[in-house]
Amino acid sequence: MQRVDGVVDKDNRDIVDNNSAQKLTQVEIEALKRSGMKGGDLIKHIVENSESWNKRTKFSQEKYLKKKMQKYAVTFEIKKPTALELCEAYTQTQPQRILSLRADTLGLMMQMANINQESRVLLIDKTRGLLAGALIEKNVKEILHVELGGGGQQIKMQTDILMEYNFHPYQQKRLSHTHISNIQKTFPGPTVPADQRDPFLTKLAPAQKHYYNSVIFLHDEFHPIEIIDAVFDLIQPSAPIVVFHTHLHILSQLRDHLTISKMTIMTKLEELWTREQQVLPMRTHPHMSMHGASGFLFSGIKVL
Amino acid sequence: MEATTQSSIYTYKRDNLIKEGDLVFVYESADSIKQITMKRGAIYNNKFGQFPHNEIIDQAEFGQKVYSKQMKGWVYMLRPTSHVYTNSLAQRTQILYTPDISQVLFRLELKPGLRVVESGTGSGSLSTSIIRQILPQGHLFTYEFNAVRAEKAREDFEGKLGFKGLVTVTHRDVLSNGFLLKDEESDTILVSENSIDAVFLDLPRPQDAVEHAYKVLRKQGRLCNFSPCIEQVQKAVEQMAHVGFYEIRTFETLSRDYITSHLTFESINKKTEEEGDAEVKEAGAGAGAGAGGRRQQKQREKGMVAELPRADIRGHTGYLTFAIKF
Repeated sequence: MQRVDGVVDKDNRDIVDNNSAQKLTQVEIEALKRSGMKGGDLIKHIVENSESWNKRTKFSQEKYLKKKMQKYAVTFEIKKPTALELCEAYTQTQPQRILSLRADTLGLMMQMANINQESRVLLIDKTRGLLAGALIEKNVKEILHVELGGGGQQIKMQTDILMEYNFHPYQQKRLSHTHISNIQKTFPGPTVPADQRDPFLTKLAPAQKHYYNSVIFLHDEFHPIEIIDAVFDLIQPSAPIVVFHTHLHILSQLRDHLTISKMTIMTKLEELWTREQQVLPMRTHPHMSMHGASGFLFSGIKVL
Repeated sequence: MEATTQSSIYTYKRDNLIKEGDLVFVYESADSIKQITMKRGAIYNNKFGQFPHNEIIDQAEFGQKVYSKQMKGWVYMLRPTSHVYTNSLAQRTQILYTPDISQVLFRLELKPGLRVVESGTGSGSLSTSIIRQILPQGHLFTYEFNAVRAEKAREDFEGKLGFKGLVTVTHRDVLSNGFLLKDEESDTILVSENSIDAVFLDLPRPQDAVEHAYKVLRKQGRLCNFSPCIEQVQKAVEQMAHVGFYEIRTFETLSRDYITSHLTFESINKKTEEEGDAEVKEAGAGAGAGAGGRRQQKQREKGMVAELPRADIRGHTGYLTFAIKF
């Protein structure tokens, strides 16, 4: 790229926005496209027929060309499906499918949950496998996906996004599923008397108690207080608990509950503010339009 | 060095008991977290009194409350995580904090097995997080031009963190000498051209290191540059485009922190006894539930939970630029 310091010798005082600068009509351009004219030649032709071209500044001409390139010389790149690429693609096209989780927040979640190859993750999410895939990418030891709702019937999670990662089946073996009702039966809490407990499931309890060393929760149909309470016995003391929600207040309720009950310390409630920057000589500034709501993240450390 | 027998701080132990040689984070309060290595016979002292290691080793669990010998207060014994490590390490330089670190790790798409180059090493805050992502087969080559800092970082990595064999600390000015690396003793090449998966730069003149980074990166390898000043970013980006990086994107990421409080309001119709708001204090170490605690509890029950953005925040840390080698 060439340095173009101080080339602002023109301005837009003589440019009239009445759609008359371009001498070619849309019909003529379409005809040229159909005649098989290449993108580059077509853009050159359009520039030659633009009355305003010579009145534009160098920066403006660059921007004009870029716009025309996007329109008439479409290029694309084939990318490997990774958590980063999938998350960014869904954020742009269908954010509701991943509950508006943004790539920057997903990155922070992984760090706050201390994800590494020794992690045994208790995952409670509704992102159709986006998070499960992000964890498999990091080669974690084990993921237990907890299903909610469905009256105990629906054990399998929705995995359409997980499929898009193109994982080898052996990579997905570390992902197992259970329903929250099984956990409730195994760990009924002190309120249920011993003779009313399921004897078979109670036998399983020691193996699962304090087993998982990371907890990630991302769900919009169930309140995190209820769910974190239900799975609390499975969490290893000193393990991080990370909860994402698009609504701040839900998380402050959760924080309030967990701190007052002395279940967690080092609680943090935060929101990321990520701005992409346009970096060009003499034209560096944050992008004009961006995704402005990153959602909120609660994190805390379980203590005994 | 005894480090060879020591497992890394991220080795997972099922029984959760604190063992001799373990690095433990002592949580005294939200602002005071200390790193200690468990050693028989040693004693940890703080304002609550003495905490003999002998009474912790093989007896206390991670996440457990431990009282001082004098019973004047307690601390929590925590298992190391990258986030807590970043917030409790001895700062020898300005360090990267968790929000930026998380973006670096995620956008460089670090995963087990990758070979990563980093410069400068600084206090080793980011290095520790990188190693955690790439172990056990990966390797970090980190370069630092300050001899004392390089030595201190090596001590940390090979000593208390147990990262021996996972990281190579080199004392070198990479701006003039680049990243190519050879082990002089065994005459083996450690870093050759096109052999590195990701490079991270945090240097005073990043534009001078971009070409060196390009040289050692493999095709499709990723570069990340952290610079606090936009002028550095402009020069670095220009150089990246010049030497052949593509998809060059620059981000600024800040974290906004929220305080949760209980608010009570007076009514124009009815007089209330409770006034003002009481911030929800964390179950802080040593802070007993005395009369004050009970009053706070009472206020909590009455008031409503509300959030307040923290006022003293980091308004700027730096710009992160990512690029891919063509």
